[in-house]
Amino acid sequence: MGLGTLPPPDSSGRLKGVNWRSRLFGAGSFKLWALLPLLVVLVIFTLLPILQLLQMSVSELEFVEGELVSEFIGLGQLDNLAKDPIAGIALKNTLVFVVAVVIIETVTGFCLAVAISRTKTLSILYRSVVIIPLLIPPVAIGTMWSLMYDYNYGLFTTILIELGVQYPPLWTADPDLALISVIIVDVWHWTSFMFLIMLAGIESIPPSLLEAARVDGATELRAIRYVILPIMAPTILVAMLLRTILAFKVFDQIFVLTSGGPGTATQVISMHIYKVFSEQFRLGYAAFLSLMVAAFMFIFVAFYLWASRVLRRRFG
Amino acid sequence: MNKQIGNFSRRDFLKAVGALSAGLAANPLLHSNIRAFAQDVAAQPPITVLINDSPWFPGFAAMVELYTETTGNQINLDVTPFPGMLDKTRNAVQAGESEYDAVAITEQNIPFFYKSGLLRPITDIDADFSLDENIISYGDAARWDSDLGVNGPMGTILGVPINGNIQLYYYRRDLFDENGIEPPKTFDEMEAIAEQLGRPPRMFGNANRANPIWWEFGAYVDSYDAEYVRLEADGSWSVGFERPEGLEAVNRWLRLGRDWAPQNYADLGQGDLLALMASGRLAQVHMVGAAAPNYDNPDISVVGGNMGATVVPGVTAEARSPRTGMWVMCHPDNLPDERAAAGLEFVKWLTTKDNQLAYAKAGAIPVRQDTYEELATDPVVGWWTSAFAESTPFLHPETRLPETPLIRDSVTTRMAQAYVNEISADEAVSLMASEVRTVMEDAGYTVS
Amino acid sequence: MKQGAPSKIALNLSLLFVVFLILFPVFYIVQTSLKSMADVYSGSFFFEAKMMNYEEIFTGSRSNFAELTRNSLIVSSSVALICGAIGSLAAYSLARLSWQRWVAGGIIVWLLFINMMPPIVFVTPYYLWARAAGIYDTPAAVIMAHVVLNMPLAVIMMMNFFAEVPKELEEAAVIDGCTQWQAFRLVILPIVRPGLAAMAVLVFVFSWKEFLFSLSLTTTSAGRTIPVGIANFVQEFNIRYGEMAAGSFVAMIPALILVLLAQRHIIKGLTVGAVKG
Repeated sequence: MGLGTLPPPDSSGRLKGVNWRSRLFGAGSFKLWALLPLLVVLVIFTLLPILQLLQMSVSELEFVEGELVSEFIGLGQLDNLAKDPIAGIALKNTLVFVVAVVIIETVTGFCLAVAISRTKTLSILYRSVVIIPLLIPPVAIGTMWSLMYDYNYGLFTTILIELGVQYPPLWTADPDLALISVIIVDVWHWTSFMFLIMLAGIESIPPSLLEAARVDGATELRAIRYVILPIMAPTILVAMLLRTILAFKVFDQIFVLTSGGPGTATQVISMHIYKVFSEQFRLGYAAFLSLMVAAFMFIFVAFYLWASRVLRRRFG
Repeated sequence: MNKQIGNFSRRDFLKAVGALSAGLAANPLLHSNIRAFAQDVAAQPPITVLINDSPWFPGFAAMVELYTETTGNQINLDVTPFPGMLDKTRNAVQAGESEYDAVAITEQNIPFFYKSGLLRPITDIDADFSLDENIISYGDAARWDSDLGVNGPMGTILGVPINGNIQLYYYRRDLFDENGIEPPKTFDEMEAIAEQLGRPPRMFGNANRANPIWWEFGAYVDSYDAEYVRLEADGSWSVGFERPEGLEAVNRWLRLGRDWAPQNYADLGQGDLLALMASGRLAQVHMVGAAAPNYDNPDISVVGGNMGATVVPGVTAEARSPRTGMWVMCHPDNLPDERAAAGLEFVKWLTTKDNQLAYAKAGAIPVRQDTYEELATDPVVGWWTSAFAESTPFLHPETRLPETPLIRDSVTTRMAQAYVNEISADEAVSLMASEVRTVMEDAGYTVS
Repeated sequence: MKQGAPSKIALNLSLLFVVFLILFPVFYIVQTSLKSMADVYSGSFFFEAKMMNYEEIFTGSRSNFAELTRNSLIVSSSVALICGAIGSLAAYSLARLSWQRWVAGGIIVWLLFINMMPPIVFVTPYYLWARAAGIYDTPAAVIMAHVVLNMPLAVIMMMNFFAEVPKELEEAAVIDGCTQWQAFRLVILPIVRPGLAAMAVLVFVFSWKEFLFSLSLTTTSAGRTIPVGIANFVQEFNIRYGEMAAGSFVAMIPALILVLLAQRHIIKGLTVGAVKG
C-alpha cells in the first residue's frame, strides 16, 4: 500500500543513483511494481522454452544412445515442408475454419450480449445457461457430438428418419459436410467465449450514454449502431483476436469428432503439429511448423490492429 | 479390509473380476479360478508402473492386486489415457531419475524407445534372464538388433511382452450356422459372405476401420506380399506399393470396406465397428482381438454367446497375415539397479503360465502360446482364445522402424483420400510409393 | 429503458430458443449418462434408465471423480485468482501508465507468442521443472502451468477494459490525494469490474478444461483434474460413452455454481470498495 507516495529519495545522492532509486521507489514506481509480477512469470517460465523452440526450429534432433543430439541445419526444415503431404491441406482447412468460426461467433456473441443485457427477470437464467458449454471438457464435447452425428445410432439421424426424411445427411462422414459439422460444434462450444467478453464490454458502457441516445429519440437499432457499436469496437476486436488464436489451436474437439477425415476434409494444422511433435518426434520440424503458424496468426493480429486504428479514426 | 494399491482397493479388484463375470453371466468359474500361485518372489521395494486405461486394464489391475496379496510387494499404478502414453513415457525416461520402474510401451512405439538408448537392457538388470520359449515372439518384439536397426532374433532384450493383442476375424456364429456358412479363409470368401448376409440397413455384410487406415490394412498388404516396407535378403529395403500387388491390396481394401458397409464407412473407427457388431448389425468384421471380451458383456453387447472368431483371412489361406498390436513392459535406463530389479520381478511373475491364465480370465490378453492352448476349450473365453492360438503361426508384426510414423502418415492420408474418392486408387498407390521411398531414402536406408 | 411489451416478449422468446439450442446437447449428455453401452449402440429413444455409470465414476476402479473434482476446483480457482491479480496489475500498468512503446509492444508480442505456440512445446520443460521443484503430482504443478498459459488472455483482455476508462477519473483521484495504487484499487478497478469478472470466469474455464498439462504433470488423483478422468474413457478401441457423460455432467455442476457465485461476488465486492473509496 502507498507505494506511490514514498517520499522522493534524498537529492544529495548521485544523479544515476537517484534515477534508479526514484524509479523503484519514487512517485512513478507503481507502474514498475505492477508490471513486475508478470515479468517474473514470463522470464522464469517462458523465456527458456521459447529460446529452445527457436533453436529447435533450425535444428534436427534425435536420441542417440540416450542423449538428445541436436544438429544445426539452418532453413533445412523447408525441405521437410516441401515433402509434407498434409501441412498444406491442413493449413488451408485451418484458415477456412478460423475465418468461419470467428465471424459466426462474433456476430452471434454480440447479438446475444446485446439481447441479454436488456433482460431483467430471466437474466440470471440466460447468463448461467450460456456458460455451460464452456465447462465441459473438449474431449467430452467432441465425443457427445460425434454420438449425436453418428449415422447408425446417432440422435440426428434417428429424429430425421422418424420425421420421414429418406436420406438423412451423413454429417461427419460426408467429405463435403464434415468441416461444416465441425464448425457447428465449435459455434455451440465457443460462442459463449465471445458473449462473455462482449457482455462485459456492454456493461462497462455508462448508462447515461444510452439514456442520452434514447432521449434523442433513437430507435433500438440506431442506438446499437451509433452508440454501442462504436464504443464496443475495441472490445470486439480484442475478443476476435483472442478467439482467432484459440481457433488456430483447435485440437481435441476435432481429433475426437473426425480425426481429420473423411479423406483430408477436417485435417487442421494443430493436429498435424501434435503428430509431428509427439508421434514422429521430429522436434525441429514441429518447432518450425509452430513458428510458421504463428506467422499466419500475426497476419490476423496485424489486420485487427489496422482495423482498430481505422475505427478509432472514424469514430474519434 | 480396504487395503489400497495405488488407486485400487480390494473392492475394485472384486469389481474388475465382477465386470468380467457379469459378461459370463451364467458362469461361476471365476471365483474359483483366480487363485494365488505361491511363488518365490523375494520382498521388493514398492514400484510404480505406467499403464494405459483400456478394456483390458481391469485384468491388469486384478493381477497387480494378486501380486501384492501373494508377495507382499506394493505396486502403484499411473493409469493414463492411451493418447498420453507416448509423451508421459518420453518425459519419464528423459528426467534425472524416472518416476516409473516399469513402463508399458505399445508396439508402434517400440522402435523409437528401443533405438533411443533410453531403456535398460533386461540382461543388465538380471544377467540370468531369458525369455520363456512359450512367450510368443511377435516378430522378436522383445529384442532390438542395433546393427540392422530393427527387431531381430539376435538383438538385445529390451522389453517383455505383457499384452498379446493381435487382429482377429469375428463373425456371427448363429447367422453362419443358420446359412451353413464356414468361416472364411480368403478375401474372396469374405466378399461372398458379405454379399450373402448383407441386408442393409438392418444387417451390413462387412465394414472396415477408416480412422485410420493403417493397422488392419497392413494385414491386406502383407497378405498380398506388398508390405509397406520389407527387408530383403540382400540387406536392402523394398517398397510394397511399387509392386503391382500394392494396387491389388488397395482395391481389395476399398471394395471390402465400402461395398457392404454402412453409408458412413468413411468415418468408422474401432469403436464404431465394435458398436455395429455388438448391436447385431454387422455379420463379420476384421478388428482388434483385445475387443473380444466386450462381446460377452451384456452391458455392451446383445450378441453374447453368438460370436465366433478365427484367423483374419488373406489372399489365400496360406497367405493369411493378421498383424500384431501388442505391448511390452520395459524399464527406463535412468533407474537405480534396485528399482529396475523390482520392476522386472513383477514382469517375470506376470508372464508365468499360471498367472497368464488368471490374467486372461480377468479380461486381459495373455502372451503365452501354452496359455492360449489351455484356454482354447474354455466354455467362456474359448471362442476367442482358440482364435488367438490358431493365429500365432500367421502373425505379422507392425512395421517396426523408427521411420514408421512417417510412412504411416503417408499411407493413412492417401488411403483416406482414396476412400472418399478425393484421389483415385492408382494415384494413391503411386503417391504412397514415392512418399514411402523418399522417407526411406532420406533416413539413409538402401532402397531396392 | 423503456421497451414495448411485445418486443420484450419477442426478445425473451428468441432467447429461450437459444437456451434450448444450448441445453439440447446437455440434455443428451444427461440422457447418455443413464444408458449402458448397449443402449447407446441401439440408438433407440426408449431405454431403461440406469445409475451404473454414476456408480462407476465414484466407486469404480477407473476414476475417483470426487478427488478429481476437488483438484479441479482448487486448481481452477487458484489460477483465476493468480491470473486475475497479476494480469490486471500488469494490464493496468501497460495500458495506462505510459510505458515506452517498445516496452508495452514487446510484452504484448511476447504474450501473444506464448498464446500462439502449441501447448505441447511447454510440456517437457514444465515436467522437468515440476520434478526438480518437488511439486510433481500436486495441484501446484498444474496451477503453475495453467497460470502461464492463461496469462496472455488475462493481460490482453484487461488492457482493453482499462484502456476504455476515461483518463479524467484517474487524474481526479490523484488530485484528491490518492496514490496510484489507491487510484487503481478504489477508482479504476471498480469501473472495470464487469471485465474483471469476465476475465476471471474465462481463465477459470480454460483451466477447468485443460487436459495436456494436468496429465503430464501428475501421476495419481493427488494432482489430476477432471479432463484427465474424462479422457480415460476414450480408450484404445472404444469410448465409454455413459461414464464419460456422467463424469462431464457431475463435474459441470460445482463449476457452474462456483462461477456464478464468483461473478456476483466480484461485481458486488468491488462495488462496495468503490463506495468506501
